[in-house]
Amino acid sequence: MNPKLRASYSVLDSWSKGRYEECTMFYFKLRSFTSIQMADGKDYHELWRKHVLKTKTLPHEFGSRPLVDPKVELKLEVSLGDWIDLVGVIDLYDDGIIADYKTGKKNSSEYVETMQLPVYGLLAKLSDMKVNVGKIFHYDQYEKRSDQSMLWLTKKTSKEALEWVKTNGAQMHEYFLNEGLYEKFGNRVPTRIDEEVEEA
Amino acid sequence: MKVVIDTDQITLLKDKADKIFFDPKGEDVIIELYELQAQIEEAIKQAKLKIETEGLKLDPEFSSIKSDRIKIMYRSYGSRYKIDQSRINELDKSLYKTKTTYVPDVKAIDSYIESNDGKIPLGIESPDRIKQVSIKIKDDESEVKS
Repeated sequence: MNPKLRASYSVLDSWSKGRYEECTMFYFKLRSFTSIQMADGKDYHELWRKHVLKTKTLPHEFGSRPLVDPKVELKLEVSLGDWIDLVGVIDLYDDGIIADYKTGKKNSSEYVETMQLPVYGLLAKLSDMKVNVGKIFHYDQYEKRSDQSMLWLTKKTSKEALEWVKTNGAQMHEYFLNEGLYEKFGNRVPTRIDEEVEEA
Repeated sequence: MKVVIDTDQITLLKDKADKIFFDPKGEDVIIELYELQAQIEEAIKQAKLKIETEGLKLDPEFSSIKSDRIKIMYRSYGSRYKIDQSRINELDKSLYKTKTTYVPDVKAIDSYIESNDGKIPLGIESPDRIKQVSIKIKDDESEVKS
């Protein structure tokens, strides 16, 4: 029986941009690389995660607005067929809104152009979550400025996300099979969905 | 302000636009189309203002909103950085690029052609230029350009 591809947005995105080697390295965890910027980003994510859990409000950088019933670092996994699972971790979910935090120089409106929010929206909807909107909360830690962008998660975005995931996933899966990479490196160990979602 | 758009009227005006070739009063048709355009542009301007006002009320940091067919962006335009030309020699060369632009000197080229039996100089091209209609409307002292 063929192994199942466990596709996340990041690996699919690398593949879709033709960064096949990077995608393969990342998927099979053959190489890890953390830049200063990535480390910075991780630190901020952790800071914001703790803030939301403690205060039930958005981080100060994003307006401190009260949240309804926030969930942080929500790990989701859905099967899209006998050959592919879609997996992901949503930074923040609250009252129909899924949100992802970003740091660095790139404006939130650029991230809204990617497939990330549509894919997360698809993941959430297939997990029977109420989802209307995706948001990118961006903080430029160098200029100490933030901005936010919003994407309506509609049937159209879900359909496009599904097509994108399956198209890129199929190509990746075929490549991994043909090159014998699953046997060579072992597939990602399926992890049980963490049902103990951290609730504030 | 109430904007009433009669799409049948617009189609009628569009079809009569060539009337100006046969009757100086044909200009009325063109002017009416432009007046409709001005009304719509004003409505769009008001809509943008409303989006800005309400958007900032809901979310002081909103940058963009995207839906199936529309993306609304609220951002600054223009170059993010400028170079202080007076200090160019102090600036690290890795921080800027130099661009050379070549612009044909039309008078000099015309003069060359006239002096060389109509020959176009080597390195100069005469591209095909498509003709387009442009319309200017004079309204008292102001002009509206198409």
